[in-house]
Amino acid sequence: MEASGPARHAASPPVSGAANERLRYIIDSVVAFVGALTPDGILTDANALALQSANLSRDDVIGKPFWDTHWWSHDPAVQDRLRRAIATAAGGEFVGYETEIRVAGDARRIIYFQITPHFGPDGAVDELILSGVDITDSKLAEESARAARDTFEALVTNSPFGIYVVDADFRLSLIAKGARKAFENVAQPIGRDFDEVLRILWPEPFVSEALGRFRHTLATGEAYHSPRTVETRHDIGALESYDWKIERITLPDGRFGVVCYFYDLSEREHYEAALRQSEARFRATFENAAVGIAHTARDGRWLRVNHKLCEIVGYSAEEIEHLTFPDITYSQDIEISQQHLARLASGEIDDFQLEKRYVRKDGSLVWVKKTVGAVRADDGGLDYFIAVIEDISAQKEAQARQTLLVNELNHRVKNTLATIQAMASHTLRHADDPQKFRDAFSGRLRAIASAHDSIFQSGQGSADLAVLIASQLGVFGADDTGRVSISGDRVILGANRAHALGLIVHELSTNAAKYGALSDSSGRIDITLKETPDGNIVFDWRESGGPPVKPPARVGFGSRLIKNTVENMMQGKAQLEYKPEGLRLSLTFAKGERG
Amino acid sequence: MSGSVLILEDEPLIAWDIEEELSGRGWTVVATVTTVAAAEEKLAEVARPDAALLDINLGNETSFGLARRCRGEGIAVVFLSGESAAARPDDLQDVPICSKPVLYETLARTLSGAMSAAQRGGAG
Repeated sequence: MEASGPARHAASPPVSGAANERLRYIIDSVVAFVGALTPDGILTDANALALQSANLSRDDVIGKPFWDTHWWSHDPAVQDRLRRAIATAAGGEFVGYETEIRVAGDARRIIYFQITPHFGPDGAVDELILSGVDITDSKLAEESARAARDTFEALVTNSPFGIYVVDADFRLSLIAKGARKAFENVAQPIGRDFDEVLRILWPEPFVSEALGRFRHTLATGEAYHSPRTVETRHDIGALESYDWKIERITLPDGRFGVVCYFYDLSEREHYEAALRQSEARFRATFENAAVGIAHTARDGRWLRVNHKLCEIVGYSAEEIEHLTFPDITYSQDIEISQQHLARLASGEIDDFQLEKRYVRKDGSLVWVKKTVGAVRADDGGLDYFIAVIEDISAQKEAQARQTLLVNELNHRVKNTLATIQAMASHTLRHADDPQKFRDAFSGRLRAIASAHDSIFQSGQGSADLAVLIASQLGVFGADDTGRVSISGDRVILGANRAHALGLIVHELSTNAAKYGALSDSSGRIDITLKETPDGNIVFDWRESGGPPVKPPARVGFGSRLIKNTVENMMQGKAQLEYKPEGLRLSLTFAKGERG
Repeated sequence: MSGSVLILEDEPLIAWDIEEELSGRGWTVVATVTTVAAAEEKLAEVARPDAALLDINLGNETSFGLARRCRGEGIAVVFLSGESAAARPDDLQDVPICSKPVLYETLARTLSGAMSAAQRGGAG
């Protein structure tokens, strides 16, 4: 506070005698600084209070330049200001301003200080009258009030929560940072009429009701709380929901106001809805997965399992949640499973895959491929395991079947090699020279190959005897000449018997082509097949019309083969007749056996 | 050393060849059969052979049971198989095995060895 202007006092009458004494008393008793200066600033008088306040005696200060006295000498700026004020006053102008002075104990006070020029009879300034009033206390009070108001405003304004304040004049006076968004569509909301502001945001009838609540609270001090208000906002056209509360408070200006605290539930509700949706999606994925999925605890308990897993192990979800994974793991596979889990739990590995067996509820075993990963807590420790479990029983069975097939194939190949070996040594025993061996052996190899075709073409490992015979005769080009007939029952033989018969027919055909019915253009062969009710097969080979037949000079491979295979191996009967009109062979053997 | 032998082999051509080859090496083939049932029948009706040469895999059956029976009667047993040695059950692991196609010299030697062992009262 500062003032200056033309002096308000005209020349005052001189003071003297008893009156002077009395005045001195009055001046000394005034709770203020009173004194006088010469126009050039030499202190000529000061009241007792002023001296006492600074613990000074008159001799300390009287006759000295005022600005060099204890009150002012602590700060050059204060001194400077005083000199300028004195100069102004000396020029005839009244000066008043707030300043700081030093008092006893190096303390500071704030005073309102005035210098009033006194004009002499000649109209010139002859004295400067000093007066100062201590305003320190009111100054501090004013400052602390301002600080309190600033603090209050800062607290509200910087708050990240939804807070705003309506003042006694029903104007919006403060908006917290966290509430700004709510008012973003209101131009310059601070200081605006709250009625007007609220009507921009909310529709009737809610807005009138809300304004009524504010007015009621402002008037009565009764608080109000609405845990959930759902309304469509005017300005954004969206449904929002709020939890809001109003209370009356005394504002820093000393008047009442209403503070409103609100929480935007919409955001939380959106978040919760998103969470629910995400949870539903997760659940659907978990439940409908085509593989088994489980969450298991470190101690092996099942925390959560899906439908497919239940299907794989044959337990219901309720049953399984009372079990641990070792409970349903095949005993031989428990240790390896636990070793892997321990490595996973310790963080040594991130995941693992294992093929193992579970014991189903019905006691049967099921092969599964299990892929396990770990879910870790924030501190890096294990939270739980996630296991994906696939039923690989079918795959395992297929593997086993394949192994079996490969073994079977190996067995057959070895047997075939052994058969060829046998055929080679038999042929060698009966061959007179290498050329004959080569012809006979090649023919027999082709017979073996052809018999194989007949047996395996069916895919059943058995052969239709008629087809087998035709195929063996086909080697000699005799099937399409009409000179060979195959008639009788349809006979199906197992692999071994079919194979033996194939070789026999080969030998018979070879013989017929060389010496018998097929060695000239007139002979024929009639073959009849019969299956008797008691399970015997009768094979009848009858040649006719060829060159006259003579019994051979020595027993050949063909007849040895027939005798050996049919009589010794099949416990059947072989009747071979070298009739002049043609060779005749009748075989009877049990169909029985596997082949 | 040779003696009498029973041959169980379901492929006639092979059986016959083995018969010829063993006969040619001085063995007496007492029977050549293609099924376990036929083998048991022969064992019941003819003189007990010194040795039995048994094909392991006979279509739907194996000759393991017959092998045990032969051993029980002191008949030397030698297996013949297209499969590897691992196909034998534990109690027949010490039965010698000749894999097909066989070298007849090896087969004859194996039979002689098994026969000697059986006569000494050992296994096989």
